[in-house]
Amino acid sequence: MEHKRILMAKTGLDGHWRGPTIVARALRDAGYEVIMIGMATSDEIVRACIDEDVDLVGLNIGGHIKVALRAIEAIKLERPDLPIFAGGTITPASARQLESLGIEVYPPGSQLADIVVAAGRLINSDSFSQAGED
Amino acid sequence: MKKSESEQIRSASGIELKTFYTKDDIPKAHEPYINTSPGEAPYHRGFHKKGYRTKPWRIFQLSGFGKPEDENERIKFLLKNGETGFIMEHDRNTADHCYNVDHPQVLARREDVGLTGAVMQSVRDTAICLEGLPIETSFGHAGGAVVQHAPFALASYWTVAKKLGYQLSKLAGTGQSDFNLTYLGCITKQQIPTKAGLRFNTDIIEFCGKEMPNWVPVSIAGYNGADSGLTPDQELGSLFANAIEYLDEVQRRQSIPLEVAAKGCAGVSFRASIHIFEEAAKMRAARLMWSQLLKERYNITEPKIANLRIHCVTAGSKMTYQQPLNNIVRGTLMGLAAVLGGVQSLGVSGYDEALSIPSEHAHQMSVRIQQILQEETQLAAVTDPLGGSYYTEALTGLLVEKAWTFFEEIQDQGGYLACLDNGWLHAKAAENQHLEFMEMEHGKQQLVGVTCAEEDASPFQIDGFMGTDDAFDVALERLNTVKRERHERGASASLKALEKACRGEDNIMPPIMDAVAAEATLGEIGDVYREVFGDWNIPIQF
Amino acid sequence: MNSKNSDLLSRAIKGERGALARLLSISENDISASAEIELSLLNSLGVAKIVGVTGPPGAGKSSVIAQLLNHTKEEFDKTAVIAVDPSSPFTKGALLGDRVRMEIVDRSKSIFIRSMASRGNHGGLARSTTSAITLFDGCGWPLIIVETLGIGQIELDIASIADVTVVVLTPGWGDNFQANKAGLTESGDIYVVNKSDRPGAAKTRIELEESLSLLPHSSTSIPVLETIATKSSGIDDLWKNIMEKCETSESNTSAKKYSRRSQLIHRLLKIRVDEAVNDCIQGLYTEFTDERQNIPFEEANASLNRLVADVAEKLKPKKT
Repeated sequence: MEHKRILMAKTGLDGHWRGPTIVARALRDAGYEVIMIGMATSDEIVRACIDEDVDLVGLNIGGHIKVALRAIEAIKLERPDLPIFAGGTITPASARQLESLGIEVYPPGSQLADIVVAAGRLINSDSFSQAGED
Repeated sequence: MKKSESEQIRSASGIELKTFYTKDDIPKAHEPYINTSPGEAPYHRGFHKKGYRTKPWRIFQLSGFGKPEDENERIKFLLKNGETGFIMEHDRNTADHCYNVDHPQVLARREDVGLTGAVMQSVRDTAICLEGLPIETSFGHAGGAVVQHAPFALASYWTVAKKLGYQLSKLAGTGQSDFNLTYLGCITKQQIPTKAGLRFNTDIIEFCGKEMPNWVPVSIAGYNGADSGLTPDQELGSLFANAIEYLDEVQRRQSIPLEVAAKGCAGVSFRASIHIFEEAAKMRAARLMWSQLLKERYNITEPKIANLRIHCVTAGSKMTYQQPLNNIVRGTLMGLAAVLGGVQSLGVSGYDEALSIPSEHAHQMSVRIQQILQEETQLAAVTDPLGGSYYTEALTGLLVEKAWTFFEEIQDQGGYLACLDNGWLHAKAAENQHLEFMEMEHGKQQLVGVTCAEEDASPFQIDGFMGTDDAFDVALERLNTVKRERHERGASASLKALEKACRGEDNIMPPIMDAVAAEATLGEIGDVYREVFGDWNIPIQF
Repeated sequence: MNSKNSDLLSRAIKGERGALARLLSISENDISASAEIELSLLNSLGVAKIVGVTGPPGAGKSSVIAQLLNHTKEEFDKTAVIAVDPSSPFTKGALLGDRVRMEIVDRSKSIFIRSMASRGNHGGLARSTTSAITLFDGCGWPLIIVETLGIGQIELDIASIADVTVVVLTPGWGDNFQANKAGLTESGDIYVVNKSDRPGAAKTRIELEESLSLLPHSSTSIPVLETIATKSSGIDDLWKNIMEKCETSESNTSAKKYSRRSQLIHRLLKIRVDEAVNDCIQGLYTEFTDERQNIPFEEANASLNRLVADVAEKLKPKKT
């Protein structure tokens, strides 16, 4: 049986762990293997995406949107097919910017159930597109 | 929303709430205290009979971002608007980690620099931030919330004050150096281990005990435990478990009288959350427990020491992202809870807390909320207005009981530091967060604008505040300038001396003061710590 | 092997990390595909040095490995780390947090960290940990460090796979883990008392040395070292000892290659046996599920005999 793997990373150095750990736990309880890397630079995030061969990346964004965009660009360069979703303290303007890049945004107050459903949807849409390529 | 009559309602601490209270609901152990007056032991009713009439609570807002001059400007704005003390906030990327802006971890996130506080890498930056501020007449908070950063933040503030001609022995103010923040709530990428942290804090307590009697050396922040998930009873229990780590260490060292250290530890901070009566009762319980602890464990009964002074901040995590103007009401209610509990100082979170650091308008609003509470409501007229209410006294007594139980659980685990090292407290906090989240998911707890009364059309009326965009560039330039212009041999000798002190057992504050005066930078001082103390092992518990 | 996997394999051998990472996933999810891939690497196995790091939860295994990674560069151009964490028995999900502790700033290219969920396997490793080792070894990774689950049990599969097994303990360990002491103290080549600035470190070390001296094979000395991983204290010495032990265990390199290859064949054979037996049992089971309450002895016995014959038939080498 194939287990899906999700990478969870924080782009900023501001160590509020509350959001990402709650989400990680919910994803684990939904049967996913969740790889935590904590606060990571875009290089570290990309390296983990590749080495861990994950099916989805969850970015906790705490600071400036440019920092997150740097990580997203780097991921897209190495693994263009890899779906990404984001959470954290993201201003509405930044959220719109991310959404225009096809990244689903889950701001504070989002329901865990919605996040878990989104994870399943994002991972599956990815494998459909892969199957189509074969 | 109407709750069914049979449904149990529990407070955040898990106390089952009755539909009404009578005398019989007050725990037996608490009964003897009910008839005391404010100003009488065990002080749960407050330190002074006249309360806020003689001394209104301090309006004390966390503030800062960008360059030191941006922070300076914001502080002046708040003081002009009625703030009665000021708090310096340092950039978390650099300060919490003791990194300069040219550290690879910071370079990788240069746009984040200055978003969470001003960048202050040398005493020159601190001087800019303090320029023209009333540091003699108003109560200043030097920042230094995270343990490894506190010595630098304090030494910088004091060095600037000295240069301006103030005597340290008269200077009033505080820092924070909080274990809950550092090792539980806001874990950094790199941090000195808890054992070294205990030494730092004891050194600060000792230094202030000898040289700076008006300075509150450390401020244990129950807030950071609570906002990480600890329930009110756990917030109380862990705060006192933390306090005894400091006091026991002072007792072991025997370098200053224990009473002096106890007075230094008696300025704490709590979170005021949204359950009004339980939160007010928590402040009362805290004062009661402190006087019990000092009497029973250290045989200290002197009123000026046995009376806890509380700074309170409203719960940031209760502020919602959706419909943020609702947060003005939440801030007011949480502030009300704090004032009903009789706190000495209050910060109200900005209504844009869930989106960003406070905008100027949000900050002004926080001050206005406090001014309305102080000036219009007669809240400040009567001391301990809830005293004698069956409900409040019952909650106070029950919280005291539950909190001491949690305190004992921590002792059974090997003490507060051990609970941070082995992740026991983290597991407790995570479990609570999970339960709280689940209650909301399952509709047992509603959040207006989020789980009910949503507004699909325009959930956000405001955008977040993003500070300035030149903080990094200016900080990098200033870092290079200070390194170029300073007396290099003096700076490097001071760092050597600091390293020697760190490796030995001498108090680190004098060599830190020397290093700061010699314009050694934050990152260089951090390098000394990293070399000598290594890194704390994060006890991640899932 | 299908063309996609063989393409991945040739790219992985050339050093493409993404391809190797994909193969590692395949080996986790598809036993038969993994067996084919591994078998094709048979002749290049036995080159890598394998270091196992085990010990009870919270002993600081990840931190010790993180510190060792500062040293591996001295002798190896690349290092692979496989870190195993438990899966939830109920949801099959897992939280894999070892990377958080293993700082990889500025050296990520020479280090490949792979987190692995145990997926219900016992013994401190995941079922596919051995496959991952084969893949790293076969694709030219000269050093493979395996961090086992934090266990307190007497299950130490790692010792049979690794060239050197490092057991990481903390002061006072012996007091708390009395019942489990035996297993851990019989499997290590090197013992480490980590967090040795805590009270009781010397006592723990002495106790360990005593119990190790009682072991029957005490002809070779088993070092007991003290480290403080958070301060990188004692790590130089640990690395030196690991390298020395590696050399001892490699006194006969060709024997090592032979052993690793035969281990692989043995393992793949076992997988094939398991599969064949499972198939046949499934067939047998279908035969009996026609709601009969009583199955006559003769009939059952005949079926079992047929099953054994079936399995034997299936195990005959296949002509390709």
